[in-house]
Amino acid sequence: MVFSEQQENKDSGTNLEVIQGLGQTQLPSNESNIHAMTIVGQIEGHMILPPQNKTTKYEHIIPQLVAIEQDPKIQGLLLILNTVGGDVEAGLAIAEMVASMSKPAVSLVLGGGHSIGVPIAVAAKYSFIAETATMTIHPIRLTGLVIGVPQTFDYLDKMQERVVRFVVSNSRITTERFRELMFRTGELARDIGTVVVGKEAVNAGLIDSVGGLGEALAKLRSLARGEH
Amino acid sequence: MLYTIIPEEIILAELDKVPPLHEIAYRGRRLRVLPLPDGKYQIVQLLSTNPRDFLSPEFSPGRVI
Repeated sequence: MVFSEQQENKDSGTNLEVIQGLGQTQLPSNESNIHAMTIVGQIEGHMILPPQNKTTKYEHIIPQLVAIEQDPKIQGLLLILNTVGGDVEAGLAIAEMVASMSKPAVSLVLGGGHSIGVPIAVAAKYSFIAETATMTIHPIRLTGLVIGVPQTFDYLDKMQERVVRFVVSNSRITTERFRELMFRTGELARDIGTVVVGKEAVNAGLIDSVGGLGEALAKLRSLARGEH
Repeated sequence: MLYTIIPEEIILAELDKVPPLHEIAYRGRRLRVLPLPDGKYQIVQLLSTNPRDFLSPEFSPGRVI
């Protein structure tokens, strides 16, 4: 690349690198009192995933949440999800951090909020799902590829229990209903579980409302003003 | 442990291609970086105890320095 071109493309280049590395774009720099955080691709946790995966790195997200919580200029967090799931403990860590923030957080599921994305979506004070967005609820599977992990049935069961308990205590869904969705047969071609689309997620009690960016921002502003 | 709709064999297909990372000092912070063929580094992880650093695009993962 010619040097002058490089100079011209410097800004867009930085943006592109950030998209590749973190799956996040920078917001325009006019001061905003709301921070937007995107959780996209695979949620990367205890192991670095091979380069063909698009990932959200939890070790970067966690201190960002700390910064958002402690900065007096920031009044709220908009959490945008389009994730296929990922590391159980990294996902639960993000979900717990969001749920325990004193500042209002509103989540918006776009495209998909699958597997470990479900507890993250419900962790916010108020959650939205786009009309076309989907969420897959399924059991944590036994896979033989990761060697050295104690994947006994008991261990899987305990992991799953943590997810179920978190989702139930942070949304309107009951344990029975969530389990029923998780273990339903005949819905998914290659697995047991359920896919809920837009309004179905709201009807199940998982998500608070169907909506998009406008609704999510309006809700966040009203929560930031202390309204409910 | 992974909880995802993507099959593990697809996620881990190129596990042998995960490159080794270096740790460097950059503007007073420690960074875990991926060395690039042109001698630059791509940020993989920021090691800092100042949460504000994590909101700065300067140290954002993916950035080439």
